[in-house]
Amino acid sequence: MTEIPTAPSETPAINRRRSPFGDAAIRVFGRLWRRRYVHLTALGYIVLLVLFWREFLSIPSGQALSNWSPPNETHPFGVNALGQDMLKLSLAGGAKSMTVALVGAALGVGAGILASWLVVISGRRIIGFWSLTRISHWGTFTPAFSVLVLIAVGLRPGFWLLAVLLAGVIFIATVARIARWFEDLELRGDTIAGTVLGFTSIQVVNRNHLPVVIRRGIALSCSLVPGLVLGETALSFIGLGLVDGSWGKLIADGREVVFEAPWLLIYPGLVASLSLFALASLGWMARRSMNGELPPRVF
Amino acid sequence: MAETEPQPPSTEASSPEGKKLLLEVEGLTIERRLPDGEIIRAPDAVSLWVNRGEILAIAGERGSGKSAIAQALAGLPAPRSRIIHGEVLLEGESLLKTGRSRLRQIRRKRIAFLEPDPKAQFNPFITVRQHLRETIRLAERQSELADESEWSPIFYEVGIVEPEKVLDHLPDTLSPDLALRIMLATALFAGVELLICNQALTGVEPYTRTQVMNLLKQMRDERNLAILLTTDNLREIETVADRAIVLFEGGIAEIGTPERILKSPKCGYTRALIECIPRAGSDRARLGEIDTDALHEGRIAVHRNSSQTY
Repeated sequence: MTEIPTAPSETPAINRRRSPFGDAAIRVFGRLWRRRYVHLTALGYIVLLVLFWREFLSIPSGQALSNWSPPNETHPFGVNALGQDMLKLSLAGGAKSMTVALVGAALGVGAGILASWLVVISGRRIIGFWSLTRISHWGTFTPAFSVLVLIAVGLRPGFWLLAVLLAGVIFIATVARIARWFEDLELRGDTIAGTVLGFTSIQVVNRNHLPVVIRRGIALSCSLVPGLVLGETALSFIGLGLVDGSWGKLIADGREVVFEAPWLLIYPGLVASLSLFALASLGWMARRSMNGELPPRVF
Repeated sequence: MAETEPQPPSTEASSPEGKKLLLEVEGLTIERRLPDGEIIRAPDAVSLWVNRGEILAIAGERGSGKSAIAQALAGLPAPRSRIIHGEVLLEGESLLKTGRSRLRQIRRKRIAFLEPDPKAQFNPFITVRQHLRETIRLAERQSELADESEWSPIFYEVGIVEPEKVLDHLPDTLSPDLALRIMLATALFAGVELLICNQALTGVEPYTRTQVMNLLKQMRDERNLAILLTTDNLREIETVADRAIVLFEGGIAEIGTPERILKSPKCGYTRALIECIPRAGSDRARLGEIDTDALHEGRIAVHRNSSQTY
């Protein structure tokens, strides 16, 4: 006589529900792994270690300055050597970096839209679009950051000059894409319908195409801002960007005294990282929305 | 009784059927450069004419040159293509040689053009009311249609019974069928003489397609409208057309009345094309195929027809 199998006392593994947090963490890590973010981060740390291992190991004999103080209830981010609150400095630095990036992105994309629009209404579309695409292609091959550094060394830019420099980089990088938008819109049904209805080609461009391009341009600017903030921070970090009080300058100053007063490095860096993460997510969503997709679920 | 073949129009702008000639195309040849650099000619030396109060259907496979003809008739340049020969005459006035502003005048008042996706043909930023007001302004019909109470008969004619419910909508919120009806209403608002439907019924659901085809016939009869319909569906030409042309590789493979073409096609290619139409209740296990012999016959027919003037 065969034994009747009894139900297992433990729930089978397949029916066991994993913790939603653990599940989400595994999924996020899996995505980061598959898209090589983990590899890239590890590589970055290895490069940093190779370059600065002496500095990590040696403890500098920095002179204690009387004015700084670690984080406390009055100053949650601490106070620097000049007696300034680091929280206020970090926020002010962020505002400066983000403003210059936003102005740069808006100017660059705006110049791209203006150039493409002038090409379209001038009627010389083929040669005009070809030229804009060439500018973009040649520009893409140029190492933009190195050129920016060279120009910044020569000019020591202030706010507006830096914004214009960043706008130039953005113009070169995006003008081909914007020209392509105008080109694609020409093939749309409402272009043909508008033409047969009796509008001139300039009227069709201004009424049907330009609003679409401007909306897309705004979304594109949003997605470009985090990269520009990072670029501006990097320039300031090496002492070539906005020298007074931007994120890069704060982080560079904090690096000098990282062992004596770590809050001078950690908190501006933390604010910069979180802000860049938020800006990148916003830009990412804006770009997804621009492509007609639903904004992604962050969690 | 054998049906009479349509004859080419006489020079004095009046066709043999006794209807007044509206549009005449002579030897139209359009060259198109494909992305791989190859150059094709479709249409190649095509001649045809459309009378007032007549529906001419152009049928053919994809790439046979139907849309190129339709776009050339509306004076629209297609991308990467150029007209290398031929003439398009609207009541004797050349559409290919006329100046830009005169062409615009003709388009505003005399020609309407419908494309396959009706929703995409609206300016996405303005409402239906603004769209119709613009149409009326451009066609200079403010004196007749300034008051919105005058619009109702036109809406009823195209099958929109509650126009006040759609007038404030943006195009995104319209259904494709409603958008198609509004585009047809736009043609009536402008008071056009020639309506070009470039595969406008492709992708429309069958019930609406039947209604729209009846509507086209009604517009032809009541408004004496000339309609040029391009389609890849031979059933459409049977239902709606007065005359039909079968295009093959840019040339005319067959021309005649739809009944004659569908019942006793002269060309083997047309016969093979008809065999490809699925029929309800048919016991055929599979549809027909266009074989090499049919293609060969098609090329012979095109060559024979290109030496004649229609």
